[in-house]
Amino acid sequence: MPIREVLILAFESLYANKLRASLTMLGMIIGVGAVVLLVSIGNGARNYITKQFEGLGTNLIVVQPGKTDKKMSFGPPVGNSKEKLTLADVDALEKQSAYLDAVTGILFGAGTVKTLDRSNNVNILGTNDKFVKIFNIIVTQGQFFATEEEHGRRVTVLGGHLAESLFGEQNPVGQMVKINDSEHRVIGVIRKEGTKLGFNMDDVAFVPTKTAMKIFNDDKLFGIRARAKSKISMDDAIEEIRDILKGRHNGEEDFTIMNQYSMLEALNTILGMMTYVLAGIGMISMVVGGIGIMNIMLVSVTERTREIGIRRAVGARKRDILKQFLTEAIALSLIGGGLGLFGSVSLTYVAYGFLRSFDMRAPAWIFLPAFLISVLTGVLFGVWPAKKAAALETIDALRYE
Amino acid sequence: MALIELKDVTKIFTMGDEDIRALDHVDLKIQEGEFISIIGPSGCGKSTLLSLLGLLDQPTTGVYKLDGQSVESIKDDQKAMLRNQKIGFVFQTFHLLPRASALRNVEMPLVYSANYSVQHTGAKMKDMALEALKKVSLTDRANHKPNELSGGQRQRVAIARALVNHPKILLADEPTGNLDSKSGNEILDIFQLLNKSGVTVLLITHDPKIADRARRKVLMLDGKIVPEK
Ligand SMILES: Nc1ncnc2c1ncn2[C@@H]1O[C@H](COP(=O)(O)OP(=O)(O)OP(=O)(O)O)[C@@H](O)[C@H]1O
Ligand SMILES: [Mg+2]
Repeated sequence: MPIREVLILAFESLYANKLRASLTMLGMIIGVGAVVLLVSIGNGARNYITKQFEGLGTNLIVVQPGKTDKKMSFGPPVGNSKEKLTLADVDALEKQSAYLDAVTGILFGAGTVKTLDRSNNVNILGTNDKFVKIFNIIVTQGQFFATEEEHGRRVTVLGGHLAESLFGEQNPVGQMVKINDSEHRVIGVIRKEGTKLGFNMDDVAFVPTKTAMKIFNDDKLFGIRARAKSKISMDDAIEEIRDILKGRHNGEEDFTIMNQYSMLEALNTILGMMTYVLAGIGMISMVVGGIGIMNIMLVSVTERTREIGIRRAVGARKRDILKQFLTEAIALSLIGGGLGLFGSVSLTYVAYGFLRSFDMRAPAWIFLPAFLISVLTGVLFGVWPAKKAAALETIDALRYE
Repeated sequence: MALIELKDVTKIFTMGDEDIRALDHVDLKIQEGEFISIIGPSGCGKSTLLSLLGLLDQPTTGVYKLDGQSVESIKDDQKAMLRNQKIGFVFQTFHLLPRASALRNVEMPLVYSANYSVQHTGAKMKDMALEALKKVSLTDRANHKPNELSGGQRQRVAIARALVNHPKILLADEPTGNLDSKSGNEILDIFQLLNKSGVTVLLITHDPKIADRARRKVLMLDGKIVPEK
């Protein structure tokens, strides 16, 4: 039986039961739509995070005090660990390392920044001149710390947004601000970057490391950030840091070294898992859609028993009947799946239009699996009803009332 | 060799614990090119006999040989082929697809012809179906669905469908039952014409006048064939 005729029959029959066919398709529309939507969101989230990590700086190495055993993790719990990293550690790394481009210790805490008429609660970050290099910071006005300012001078560099909110149109460079009640001179402003990995540098007041130690009255570093000379030397750099720091810490590894890529990998693993879980949930709705198809096809076979008998009587083989009903089921699932795909892809584009910073547009590769899954659902849930139809005895089918 | 040969054929329908002998030790030989009418009272087994001959059902016991081949040994697909290519069947209750137009109903056997012989183009199928409808004077109702047709018109659609594939054997179960004597006679004319061109025709009727137009008359009573004179 020519495929053209099989298709005509399938569509004639679906058209004759428009409402029923549409309702059945709804299950597939929702199922495929959900899978595509969830996968797109997961995919978008992954791209988003990757971009954020890349924007964070290149070849970044993070050293945190405290030891963690697990390899794939985001480091030790932040906070008051007994182990400490000190400025002396930073100096040692700076002097002895062959693989590092730049090293800085950082301190971190909340504080207030005041001008005469304004006061902002912000994050205060103590660091040195290398910070700019490690995190690809762009200074728009004035300059970042020079090397000598490391030694506790009361100067500050403001995040772009913070500078705007304190000084408006005025040039902040050269102005005085009070950080937690001690006077600091503003020497620079950095470009607004938006939030990176949940950390908003735009609202940060940077101060030299030793100044930060005075402000927070603490000589422990929050952590060390370093940049390897190249991506290939990343592993060597990490080994080197470990050796140097261990040597300084009585041979004890009381710190954790992470690199950008392993952190990204760990995050991506989690995100990937989440994507699969979401896709799995979507799949459940596909199964529900498939059961809907099976149900309708079973009803259809019963309703059309006489038609089956008539077709058999004028020369249809069992396999022609099978083909006819299977095609109908696949048409249902494919049209439903196609509409679901179209709908969800459009939706991701519309969402992207509203939220440019998060690109959740469906990836191009989604089309083939969505198509295959739709066909597969039709086959899987259509084959039993179709077999039932084909197995009917001609004479019984003809006599069926 | 006879085209159709029934030897000691019995068909029993079991209804609960009651057995109904629809056919009771039937012997029948039909030569190629014959024109036979079967008459008999309601319930005597005429339609049952025709279903067997048309390969729609099997005998409970006995042997049915079609063209010398025992039907028991014919595979299901082969039977479908014979029904499509060699046999034209006019059902007592028409058996038209309610959702399809007269034209689509008549085209239906041609759709399945592609399995066995030629694959007709859509246009060719339409031509052949229209030609068959023309034979039964129904061209003007080609696009009507069965529920938009009168009983006699439906019967004629069913006849057109049986003729469309140029069968070798025509099995017609009261094809004139719903027709006035004029239209009935027209159908009989068609059958006679077909018969002249070599088609074997087997016709069930209650009407003795129509039965008389056949060259051979078979009388059935209570599932048995009354011996011919
Ligand atoms: N599928 C069936 N199940 C049970 N009994 C059946 C079945 N088909 C036919 N019969 C019985 O077999 C007998 C013969 O039926 P058949 O339809 O062959 O009669 P008929 O000669 O065609 O009658 P009519 O002239 O009224 O069409 C009837 O008694 C009928 O009740
Ligand atoms: Mg009958």
